[in-house]
Amino acid sequence: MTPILAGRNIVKCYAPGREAEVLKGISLDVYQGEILAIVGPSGVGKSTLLNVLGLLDEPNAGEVRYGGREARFRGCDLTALPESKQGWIRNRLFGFVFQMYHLLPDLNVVENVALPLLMRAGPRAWFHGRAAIRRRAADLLEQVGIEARAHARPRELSGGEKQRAAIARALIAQPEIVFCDEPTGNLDTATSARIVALLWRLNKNHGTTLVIVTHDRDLAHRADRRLYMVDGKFVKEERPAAVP
Amino acid sequence: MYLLFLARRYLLARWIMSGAAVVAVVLAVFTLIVVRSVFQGFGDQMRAMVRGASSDLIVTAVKPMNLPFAEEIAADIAKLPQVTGVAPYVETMAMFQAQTYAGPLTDYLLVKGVDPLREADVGKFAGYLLREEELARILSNEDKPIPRPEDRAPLTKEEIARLFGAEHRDRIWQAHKDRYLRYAPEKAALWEQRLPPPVILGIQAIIGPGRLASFGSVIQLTTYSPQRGELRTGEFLVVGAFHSGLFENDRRSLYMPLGAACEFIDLYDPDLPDTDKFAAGGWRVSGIQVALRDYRSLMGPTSRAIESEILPRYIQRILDAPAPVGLFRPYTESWEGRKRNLLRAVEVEKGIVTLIIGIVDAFVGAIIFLILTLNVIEKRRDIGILKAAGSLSSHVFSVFIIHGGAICIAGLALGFLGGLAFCEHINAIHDVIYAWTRWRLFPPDIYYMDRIPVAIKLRDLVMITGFTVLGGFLGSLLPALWAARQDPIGAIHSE
Ligand SMILES: Nc1ncnc2c1ncn2[C@@H]1O[C@H](COP(=O)(O)OP(=O)(O)OP(=O)(O)O)[C@@H](O)[C@H]1O
Ligand SMILES: [Mg+2]
Repeated sequence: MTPILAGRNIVKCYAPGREAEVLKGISLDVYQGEILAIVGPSGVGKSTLLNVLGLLDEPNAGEVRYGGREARFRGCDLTALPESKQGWIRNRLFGFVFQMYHLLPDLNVVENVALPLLMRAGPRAWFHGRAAIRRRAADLLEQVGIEARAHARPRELSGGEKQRAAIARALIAQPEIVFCDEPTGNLDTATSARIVALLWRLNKNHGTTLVIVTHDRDLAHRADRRLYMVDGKFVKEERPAAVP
Repeated sequence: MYLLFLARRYLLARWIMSGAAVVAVVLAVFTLIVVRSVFQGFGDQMRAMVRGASSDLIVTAVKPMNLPFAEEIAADIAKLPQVTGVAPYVETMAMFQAQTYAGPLTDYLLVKGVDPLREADVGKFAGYLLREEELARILSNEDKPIPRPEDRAPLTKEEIARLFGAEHRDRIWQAHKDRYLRYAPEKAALWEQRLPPPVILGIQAIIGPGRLASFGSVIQLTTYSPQRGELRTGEFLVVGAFHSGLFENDRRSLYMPLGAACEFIDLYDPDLPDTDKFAAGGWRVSGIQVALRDYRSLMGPTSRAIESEILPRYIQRILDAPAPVGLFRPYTESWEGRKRNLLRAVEVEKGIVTLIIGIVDAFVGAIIFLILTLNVIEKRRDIGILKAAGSLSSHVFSVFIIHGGAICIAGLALGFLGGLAFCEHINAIHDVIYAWTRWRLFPPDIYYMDRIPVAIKLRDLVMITGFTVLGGFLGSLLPALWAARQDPIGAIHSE
């Protein structure tokens, strides 16, 4: 089975020459529909790896091969694509959930959730399709359970609510892969459990692939596969459940 | 579309900052429109004053020859279809002397000899002349501002003929001779037989503490004959006054009939051929004034037609004459050419205003730069989020350019409204300020304009718009480029 995303020999170094490499030729495969957890001590480069895979950051060497539903990019090294194509991929195929939620403070919750779709809308879709986009955003808010806060500003929301809004935003474009960087890092245990349940439900219902960087043992243990990372390399792989 | 949506949100989110930027642009545009329009109005007025009674074009000749064949040349020029008037004239500097109770008063003056009726066809002469009752009103209250020439009706041909006529001169003499003869009783017998020729003095030479002569008095003028280099002296009766609005002109020049001027300066030329054919009878003149239907478009062609077709015929006649009169090189000159030194002063002011526009718009650019840069700093995280969600650099660039453009356009629109409205009512506003503070921004006695002149030119508005848009664009460009260049993850994690 071909992986949906395959990192090959990824090297990343923030200040070439001066500092040691953060990622030292790391390789990994991500399979369609799985929940992959990347765990390890702080500062080993987990976030860096996630950003490279998600095309938010450029590696110094190595490639990220694609094998998902979009035929024209199959087999391509995504990191070598021009900015416009990478933007397209981030908009339609990828979703992101960050520890700090990262909602736009000047937009209300629905608008934040609808942002990836609004972004694509030309003048025509803007005037004729905006209601449909908002309805979709409202649907998603209902799925994540914060439909009551739809018109609030992000600063009026609790951390859990913000994270749920961020998840709804990551999902509105029906992406293939959602990258989560410590999605529960700032939340209390009960709220974390609810966010985890939500992510798992989305994985089951939509078959969305999840790549999750986390310190949360509970979360990691529920993943389909765990990769342990130390000092820019993977040291161990665990598959508690059946191989996907 | 979402770009506009986001730009609007950003603008409204920090509306105080954006509003302050808009206010700055409004003030800049407002100031530019008002300053530019007032300067333009001032320049136009100055130009009109500098031009004075000058005709569009003159035909003249190198000195000391002056222009022979004046009447024939004038008749030829008058046949050109675009010419609406021709008038020969004589111009010379003269020493002035008048008798006063404190003794003789001397000064210098510019003497202009004109054919009054034809002169009225080529310049503002008829508008400058004062009617007897207008002059009487001015003399009875010298402190009151004199109505501008534009606000008086120009004299009709009949009125001009009467003003320069013998009957008028006799009446003035009879009314004022007693006062004058007190100083020069020995002249009484002479002038009972033959009165001196009439002159029209500028109003500033008749009124005020610096007056040179009074209405109805006899003045003495002394000059050199350009032909012979001999000293010439003549006496003249002040029969009227003119008012052009340009102080120097109204103080130091006088008009007299062309014939009287030729005789006074002795421009008679016995060596000229065909002297008997000249209407003026063998007189040379300083030049011929020519009025055109349209100065801008016809100046060049008419000037060329006169120089290449009409004047060569007369040069040939001089050369063919039994006694050639030597150097005779007639040429044409536009009024702007004659007054170029004074006009240049007005042009320099325009250059300064253009410089001011550049500086003020650089300021507009700097303000927008500042506001947008602050905005980009504040929104760095948003930029990262947008990029993570798939925004391209070009989108981010557009959001900030739209933001800067909106500030610029809003400021421009409001500044235009304010500036044009202010220009429209500038004199009313000035009157209100004067009424409250007794402070004149624009003293009429200094500028010799009783209203603040304003001229709004489309070209100026286009220029102000262009410079402001350019300033705004350049000011937006750097912050927008900077915003676009943010890499997503670096921006997201910025604090
Ligand atoms: N923008 C940056 N510039 C320079 N160095 C960086 C930058 N971002 C991360 N690093 C360094 O790279 C290393 C890996 O950082 P990274 O954030 O990937 O670690 P991490 O495994 O996600 O840690 P944590 O579990 O604490 O989130 C760290 O030593 C960090 O100091
Ligand atoms: Mg991290």
